[in-house]
Amino acid sequence: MPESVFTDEPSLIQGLLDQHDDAYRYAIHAHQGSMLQLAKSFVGDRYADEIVQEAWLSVLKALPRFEGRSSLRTWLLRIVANEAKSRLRREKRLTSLDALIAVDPQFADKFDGRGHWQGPVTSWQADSPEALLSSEQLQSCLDETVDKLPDLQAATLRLKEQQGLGFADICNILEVSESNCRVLLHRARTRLYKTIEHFQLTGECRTS
Amino acid sequence: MSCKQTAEDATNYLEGPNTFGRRIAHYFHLLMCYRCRRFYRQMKLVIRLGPSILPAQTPSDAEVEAVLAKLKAVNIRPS
Repeated sequence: MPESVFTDEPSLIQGLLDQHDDAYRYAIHAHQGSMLQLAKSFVGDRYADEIVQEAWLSVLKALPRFEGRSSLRTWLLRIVANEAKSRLRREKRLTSLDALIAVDPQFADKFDGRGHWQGPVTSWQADSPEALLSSEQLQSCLDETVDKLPDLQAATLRLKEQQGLGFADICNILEVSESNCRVLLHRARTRLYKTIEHFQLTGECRTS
Repeated sequence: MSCKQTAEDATNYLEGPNTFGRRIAHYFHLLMCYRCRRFYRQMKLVIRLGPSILPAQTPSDAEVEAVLAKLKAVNIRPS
């Protein structure tokens, strides 16, 4: 991490405007990881670097117009999300929001017509994250589940869990309403739940 | 409130903010329903699992320099 005369945001922004190499280094060090992870949620490993590179260029061009209505990080991540979504739209690969917030039919099947559980809720042998992740097989199975999550679900989960952002920032970055944002997060977690449940029942990985 | 509604509302409830009405509705449903109690315990575990399966990532110094070199190569000028 470079020496930080740029820890406060106005100094960092001024440093970037002045094209100070250390300001660039500081910003890249602080934000590249989260920008890459967010881009991966949409376009996968293959194109994430390209999206982030395009995003940095957009950011640096637009920086004089940054009004500070959100934090620099939120603004950067919003630009990454927009770059990634534009690309998916061009390629007609962006999943519709309606499809992403719809109830998972497999999960809905757990309930009868009156909304009661059809069968028992499986008991899990582990009662802590450490105990669950002591199985390397389950750990890689969960990684695979996250990789297979649809774009906006994956993005919401990463922004919440990896970046520790609140719903207001996530909505701002992804341009979805707060209620949809909560549903996207719930759907993503339900997929993780189903992966763990299946593993607990069978000892096998099923991520779809 | 049905089990399905309670399960669907788990993230909302566990991550608040909750109205008094929602707290009461969940409290009584969970009090009566051991399946939903178990489901909520497991969802809490899924929530706690998040940061472990998705650790934050920071680039190495070499990666920072590589990105910087690419940006400088484009010779970007704020507009």
